[in-house]
Amino acid sequence: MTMNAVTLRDVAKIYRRGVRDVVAVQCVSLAIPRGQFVALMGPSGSGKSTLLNMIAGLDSPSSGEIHVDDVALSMLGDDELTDLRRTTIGVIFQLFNLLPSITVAENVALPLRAAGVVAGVRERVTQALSAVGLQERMDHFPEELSGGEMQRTAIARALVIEPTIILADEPTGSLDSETGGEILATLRRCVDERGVTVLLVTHDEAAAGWADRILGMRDGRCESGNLRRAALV
Amino acid sequence: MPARHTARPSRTRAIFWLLRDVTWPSLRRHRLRSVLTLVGVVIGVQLFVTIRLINRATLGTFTRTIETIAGTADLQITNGDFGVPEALVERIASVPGVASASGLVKGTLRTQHGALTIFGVDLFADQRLRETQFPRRHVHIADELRFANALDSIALASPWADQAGLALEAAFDVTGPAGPARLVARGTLDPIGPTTLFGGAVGLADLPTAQRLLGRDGRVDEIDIALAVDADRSATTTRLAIVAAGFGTLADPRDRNGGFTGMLGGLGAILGITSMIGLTVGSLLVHHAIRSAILQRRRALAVARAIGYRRVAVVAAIFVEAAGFGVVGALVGVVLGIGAARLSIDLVTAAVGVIWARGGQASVELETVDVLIALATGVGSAVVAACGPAAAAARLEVVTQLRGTADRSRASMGWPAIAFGIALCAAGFGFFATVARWSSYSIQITALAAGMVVLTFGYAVLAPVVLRVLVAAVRMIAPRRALGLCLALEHLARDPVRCRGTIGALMAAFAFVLCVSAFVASLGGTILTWVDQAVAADLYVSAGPDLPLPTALPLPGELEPEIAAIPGVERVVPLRIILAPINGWTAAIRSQPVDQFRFRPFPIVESIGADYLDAFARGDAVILSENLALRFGAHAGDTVALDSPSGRLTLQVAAIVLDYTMDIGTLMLDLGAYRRYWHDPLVTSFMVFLDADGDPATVRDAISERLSPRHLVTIITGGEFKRNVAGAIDGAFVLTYAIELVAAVIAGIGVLNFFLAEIVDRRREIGLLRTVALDRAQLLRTLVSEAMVIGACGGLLAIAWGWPLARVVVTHSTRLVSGWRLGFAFPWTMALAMPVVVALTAGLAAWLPARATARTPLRRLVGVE
Repeated sequence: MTMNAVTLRDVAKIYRRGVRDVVAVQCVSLAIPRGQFVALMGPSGSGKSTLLNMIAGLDSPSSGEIHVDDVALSMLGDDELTDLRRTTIGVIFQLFNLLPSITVAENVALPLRAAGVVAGVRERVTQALSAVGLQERMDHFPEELSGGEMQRTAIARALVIEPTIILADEPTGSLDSETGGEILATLRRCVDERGVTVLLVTHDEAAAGWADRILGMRDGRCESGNLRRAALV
Repeated sequence: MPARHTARPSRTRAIFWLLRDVTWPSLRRHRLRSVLTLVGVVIGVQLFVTIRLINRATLGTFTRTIETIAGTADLQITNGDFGVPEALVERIASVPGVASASGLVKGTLRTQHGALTIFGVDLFADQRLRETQFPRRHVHIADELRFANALDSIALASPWADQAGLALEAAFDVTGPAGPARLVARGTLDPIGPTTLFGGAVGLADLPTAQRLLGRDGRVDEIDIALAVDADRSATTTRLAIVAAGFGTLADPRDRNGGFTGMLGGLGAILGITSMIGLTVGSLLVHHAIRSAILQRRRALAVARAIGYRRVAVVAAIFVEAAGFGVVGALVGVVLGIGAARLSIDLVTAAVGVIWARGGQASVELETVDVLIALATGVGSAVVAACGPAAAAARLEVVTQLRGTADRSRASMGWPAIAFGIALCAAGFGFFATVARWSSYSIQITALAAGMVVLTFGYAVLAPVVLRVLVAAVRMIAPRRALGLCLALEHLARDPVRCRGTIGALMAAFAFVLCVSAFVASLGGTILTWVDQAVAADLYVSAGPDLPLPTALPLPGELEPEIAAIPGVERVVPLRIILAPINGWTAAIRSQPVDQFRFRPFPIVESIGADYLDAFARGDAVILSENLALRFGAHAGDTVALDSPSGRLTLQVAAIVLDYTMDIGTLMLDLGAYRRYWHDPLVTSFMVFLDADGDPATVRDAISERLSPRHLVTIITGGEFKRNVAGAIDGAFVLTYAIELVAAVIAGIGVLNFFLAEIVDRRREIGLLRTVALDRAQLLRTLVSEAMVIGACGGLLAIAWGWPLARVVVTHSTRLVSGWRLGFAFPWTMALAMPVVVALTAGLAAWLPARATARTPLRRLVGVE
């Protein structure tokens, strides 16, 4: 097993829009070591969300190779990619994407149920919600939560499968700065206490400040990053 | 790949959780739409079940009547309405292997208390068979000898006698084929066996009494035969067949429903097609409802896919949901189907009774197989309807949905879809084209049904293209200041594919309405034209209000000179119509004097020559209706064998003509020849032609004055006769008209369902429109305009689909089922009004959800889902 949680080699993504091609990501190569908190920054349309979706197996590259936990995603079919998301990768979205008609606990339990876990679901859900400070709200419905609580629920949903990698797509984009700070602190704790690898997509420099390393993206290309946090410590 | 990635969790469990966490909450949240989806299945299944139960009950009533009357008889000899010689009973009883044989007559008498069916049996004959039909312990006759000796004795079913207030020894008047008579109640019958038939209005008389009342001198309607316990059935049957040859048909009474199956085949086929179209409309509705549900749930499904639910689990959950709707809808449909069948069975049997044959009280009974078939139909149609939405869910763009910026999904109507629609239409027309090539009736019907279903779906697939063209056309003429209409058109032009299911349901429902109307118009037009050409008279004299068909009570033939003697009468033409087996098929024998054929010839299809009526007049030849000739593959010059009381007759087919007396086919004989061979002096109806000075009203009064004291006669004019014919045709389609209404309601529900889903789906867009541009009234007009344009499109397609559908039903189906050649009449006035009618129906259906949306506070419209 290598030291890298995620490795990208010459990854490109080209969308066809009518008669012309739109290059969303071009020739990106990078490696994210295990247990590192990486922020991917760039303006809107720079291709950072597309890159994150490809790493999550939600989208496929037009060319290039993506390895997650030493597994080449191109070698996996749709079902195996689904298995990867239910066991290894936790995904957090800007719009939370909670199901409004079921409770917080049931939302968090969804990935476990998808994975066919039967025993200890309640305990694991409680544990995940405790980790984000929401154990008191587990029987509430999403509409009864604040924006920050909804995003923390989404984080708990990502954590409940005990992933090795968390991919977060602008998780603080819909939140005020104080609440956003709480979310980022939670993600930071995941890295520090659980050794989880986090890839955070953001265009907020303050949010990127929580990362160990910041990568920049512009016009689909990835710019070299530095170990911000390592330098800080 | 790490080991932990290869774990395969239970797929069933994943589906269960998806259903619990995604599907069920969505169904609960959109309760009204869920109920309407269910209604789509319910109505489709209910129509199917109702028609199946009615078909079976109608046929069952005849079968049950035959079996109940036959009791434990092993074999029966019958010969249609005319019956078999009474003398044959003794010869049959003496055949080795026969334990018992007894004759029975059955007929209807009119009383002041309503129709009374009487059975005539030989009270002093071998009791073994009679004991199973009218058990001695349930027949209460105080003095049997007196009962048999007095030719006015009758034993009445006790409930009917009580209801009519007829105590023992009470006398009452009856009118039968032999004229009026007075009977005395000298016994009672417990309501057991045949006494329970015909609504319990049953009487039992000694055989000679019944024969006298019913004009069956020397004849019985059937000979019931019980075989000896140790008899060789096969050998005895062969011996019996030899003895019965030329006099009637020997058959097991339990197999005798075959003739009725054929007689009711036309009605069954029409109801079957009706049921199939109902199912198709329901299926389109369910398709649309599930598609809308999946559209609304796409984000939740995308979340499920993103966090670890496999594609197959998502697709399977949709199918399970559809199957759930199918199961629940089927069970509710079964319950409603039974109710609808019970409500309409009397109407159907009444219509059947007028045209085909009278049976007893029909009872609707549900069997396990009905429930299983209903379940299969409900689940099958719902699952098939879910295929498209499931495929869409499988193709769900997870990333796009999760971004939350996704616009409402718009299915593309590209060339592949257009090509697919055209291919379906071509396949549908292809099925129609192949119908005539098949020799098997069932394959022909299957090809027709397949053509109808495939073509319906083909048109539905192409519906968005038609909508796009319609929208472009309306845009050209729509006034710019009609903001609501302009916005509606803009929205429809942007995404016409989403309306496919709704337009398809509207199209199928209203095409069906057009088809039924075209069929009734074609049938009515053809028959009434034929009536004018071939059987029109100034007055018709018969024993009852019914048409001159085998079901009508006959009159004595000796009334002819009495009617002819009335001033103003130029000619009287007696007409006799009975049912009889011909080559194992029950058909009508229509007998009238040859002169009438010369006076008003039936339209000839083929003949042996210009002098064909000469052979006919000699009694050496018959004329066949085209539909009967088609059934037997007979041509002019061929011979046909007939069993008559004079023995087997072999007669030449002199001509084949167009005849619409009955859809089971007609064999025509000269009345003189008929009376010679059948020894039957009765007449079904007298056709009366007046001289130049004859006034119909005056002559009618004169006939009535002369005959009424002795006979119960009904005299109708030519115009009334035609109205009765039209009424009988309408009566036969009474259920179909009700189903037309149901189809229209289904389509209305489809529009309502569509808009309920649309409004939820487009809440933000509607909120935006309200914020920046539209007031409530304008929003209401926009949504209703949209519905009306969708309705108009459905109406246009209903014409485009209704015309070929009607053409196929009128020309192919009718010829297949009855052999009748109908002139095609399409209700163009109704068709041209169809787009407006459907548009108004759709607008009305959309009114409620549109009004509710217009009244929704703005903050709720623009709020986050």
